Amino acid sequence: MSALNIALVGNPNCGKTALFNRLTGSRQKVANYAGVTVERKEGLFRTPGGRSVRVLDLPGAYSLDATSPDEAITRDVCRGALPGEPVPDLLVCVVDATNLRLHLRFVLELRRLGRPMLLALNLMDQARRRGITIDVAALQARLGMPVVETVAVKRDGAEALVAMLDGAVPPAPEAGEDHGDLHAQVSALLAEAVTMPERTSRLDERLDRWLLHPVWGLVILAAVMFLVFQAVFSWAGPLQDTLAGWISVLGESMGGALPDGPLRSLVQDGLFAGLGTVMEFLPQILLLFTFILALEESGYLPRAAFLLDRPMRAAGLTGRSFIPLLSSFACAIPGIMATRSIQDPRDRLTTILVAPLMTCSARLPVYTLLIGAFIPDQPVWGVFNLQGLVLFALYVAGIVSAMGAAWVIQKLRHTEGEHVLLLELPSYRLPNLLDLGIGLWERARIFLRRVTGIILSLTVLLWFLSSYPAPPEGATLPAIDYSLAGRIGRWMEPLFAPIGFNWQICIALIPGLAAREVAVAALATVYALSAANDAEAITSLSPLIAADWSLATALSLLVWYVYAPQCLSTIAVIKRETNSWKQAGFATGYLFALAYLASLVTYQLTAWLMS
Amino acid sequence: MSPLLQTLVVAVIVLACTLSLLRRFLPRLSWQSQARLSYFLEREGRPAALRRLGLALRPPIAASASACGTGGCNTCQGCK
Repeated sequence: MSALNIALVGNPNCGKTALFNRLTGSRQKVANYAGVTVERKEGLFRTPGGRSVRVLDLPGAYSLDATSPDEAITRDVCRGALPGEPVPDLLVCVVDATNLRLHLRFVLELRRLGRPMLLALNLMDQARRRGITIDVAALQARLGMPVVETVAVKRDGAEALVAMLDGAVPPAPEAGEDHGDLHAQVSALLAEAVTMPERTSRLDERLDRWLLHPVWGLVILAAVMFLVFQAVFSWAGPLQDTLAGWISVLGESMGGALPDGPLRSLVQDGLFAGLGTVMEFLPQILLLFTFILALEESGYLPRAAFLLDRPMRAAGLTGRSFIPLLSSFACAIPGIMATRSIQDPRDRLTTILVAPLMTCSARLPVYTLLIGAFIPDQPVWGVFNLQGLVLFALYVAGIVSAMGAAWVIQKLRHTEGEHVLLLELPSYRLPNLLDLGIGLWERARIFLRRVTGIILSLTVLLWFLSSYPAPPEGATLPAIDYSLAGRIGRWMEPLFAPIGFNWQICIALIPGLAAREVAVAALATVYALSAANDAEAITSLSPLIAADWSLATALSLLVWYVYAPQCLSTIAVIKRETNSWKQAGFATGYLFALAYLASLVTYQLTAWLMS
Repeated sequence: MSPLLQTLVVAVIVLACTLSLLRRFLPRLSWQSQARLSYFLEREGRPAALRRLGLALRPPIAASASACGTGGCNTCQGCK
């Protein structure tokens, strides 16, 4: 039996990616908002009948008249006009069964292509729960294509679809009276095949009355974000301490098992001091993503986009920029890629340029280390934790700076974007524990892959540069002072002295260009190699920097990390998405200038206040 | 473990890490260098062991050229 090429196509947020994951066993990101998929994804699976099926997960589209780059991909694949992409043998139109009025319109438009199709009524469990009755046979007869029910998030939710794929490919539906008004046709279809309850979503309405309120909505949004950051600090603490304890014990026993020499130094000062310090932040990262994933799944995030449309409009952006900017809290790279869903090229460019200001998760280890070392762990007003408040303030600083930068960029370019926000507000739903688990496992895997990949490589290289050339005979200073890294740090020091950075921080800034967390590993390695003895070398980094740096230096470094574009991959993606070195250079230049200026003000002001 | 053996092990680890970083951040240069080395080793007249090593070192046909794979990507669905 030959392999079957199918394409999952439909409106945004109808569950195509969840269905793709269900069919192929893949683990692509799923969320309860539009625009998660911005490029085609491919997977393979075999049906019980032994047929190989190649599945394409296409970006969601509302129409074949594409208005953004991601919609254009869907249009081209469906029409067989994407170079190098075979025409799908079968279009699987996925629709949200709870929102057929919107989704069937696109199905009717796709039917005009005259290609073999079938309709997957997804989210059928929720439709039933809300009292929506769908006469599948009538719908099938009216549309002229097979209709199957699916619940993509349930284990056996795609069985009917898989059984259908095992059989012969259905013939292309007849266009029939397809040239009239699509809305009128949808209404006729619904009248014949769908019975809606009197009020489909009383709960949604009740919640929206508060959550979309122009004042209370913003207050609730601020409270939710605030609680997330409080929790990241308070709840992750014990887990972090336990992990740090294990790493320390393992480091001591491994180091003790080796005789004195370069390998022991690499293991103790490089791997355990450097990598171990980064590993300790895994609980914080996972906790932060638990909240982000739960909010994504609940359907709250598009409401947040709606609420923030007005403030974003004041900054020259639109609510459409919200999802890309929100994705940038995980990493600027998917955030920048998600800007493909923004139609206006000027708005898209502005969003790309400010996305690196959103606080990506790689900054979290740096923030947590510095806050833990310099900000006292004390309650504020008896309820809040001061460290959590500072973390929240840093995230807010990133958001406010992004808005400010967007405003300036729009003013400098003398452009005004199209400020129309059309957004589908999905129904609220309880986060699916399986999806939440998959999302967290993915985050943990990504973090561990980074630790054992790029961070490991950079830490080893930094250890090498910090250890060689070896000190001369009769040297009195620590070995690192004679090393290549030590010399580079000393050479950079005058440039960064006005913002309070010492030579150790200057060394850490260089590998931090590849990945921000490496700065923590680099500092740990540099301080371990600067230690007078082994006992000091295995001391946690936090007390070492607390003793060596002033508060002004710590705050200056925190502010530096709010702004500095210290990730080469982000710059590379800006170049790729804008197809312009000029824009990539502009982003790098303005972010570095902003970082230096903000750190300078912070350092000098704090030093003056403390004197 | 003797100091010499420790130094050798460290040298291998540092070399492997450097190569992995080169492959990540300078994929084209690293591909070209690997290809040149493999062709050099595979030349006629070289001992069979060297030619086998050259064959083993021959890089895959296409080098990754996009920003994906440059190392920093944190979640990215698109980066494979």
